[in-house]
Amino acid sequence: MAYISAPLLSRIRLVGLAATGLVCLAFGLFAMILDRPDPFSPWIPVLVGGAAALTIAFSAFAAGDRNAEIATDELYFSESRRAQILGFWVAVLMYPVFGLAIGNGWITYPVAFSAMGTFTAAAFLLSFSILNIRGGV
Amino acid sequence: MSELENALKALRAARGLTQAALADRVGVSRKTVNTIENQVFVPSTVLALKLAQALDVSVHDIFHLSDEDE
Repeated sequence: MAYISAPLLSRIRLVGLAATGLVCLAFGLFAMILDRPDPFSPWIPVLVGGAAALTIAFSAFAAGDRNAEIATDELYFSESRRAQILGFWVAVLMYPVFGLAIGNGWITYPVAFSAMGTFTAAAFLLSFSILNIRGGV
Repeated sequence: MSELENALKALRAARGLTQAALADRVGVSRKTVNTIENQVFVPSTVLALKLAQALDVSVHDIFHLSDEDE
């Protein structure tokens, strides 16, 4: 017997990924605003992401094979692919943007390293969440 | 330019099926059926065949190109 339905599993996944994305975005933004690579403990994004991954994995197990397959149907993979493409281009475009900022002395290397890493993760996680909420591709 | 249109909503409704019931028959989420009906998402050939099988029609009865009638 499945304890978690496919729609509930999708919602749990959405909340987990969106929460991790928001924490990553906040980390990068605060790093730039406060001009320091560790605006708050780096363990917070790690713990939120880890907790989300574990929750999604255990929820998928509790949902059973059929519900897990429904929650990861071809619309899910389509949304995920779209988010991966967007995340890739955000990551690529950050190089010239941050290169310009570093070159002009607006930002330091450690802050750029911290912000670019978390923005890359946030780009995929948040774009997937938005696509998933909109329910389309 | 040709665009893909579909009669999924009408065919499903004619059989008295809800989006959730059709989704359950073909093993996808209700949202997937909804996005196909609203022409937001274009399904794979495999899913198109499953939908046709579940509705007991041919794929061509569900999907057609916008300029086919011209």
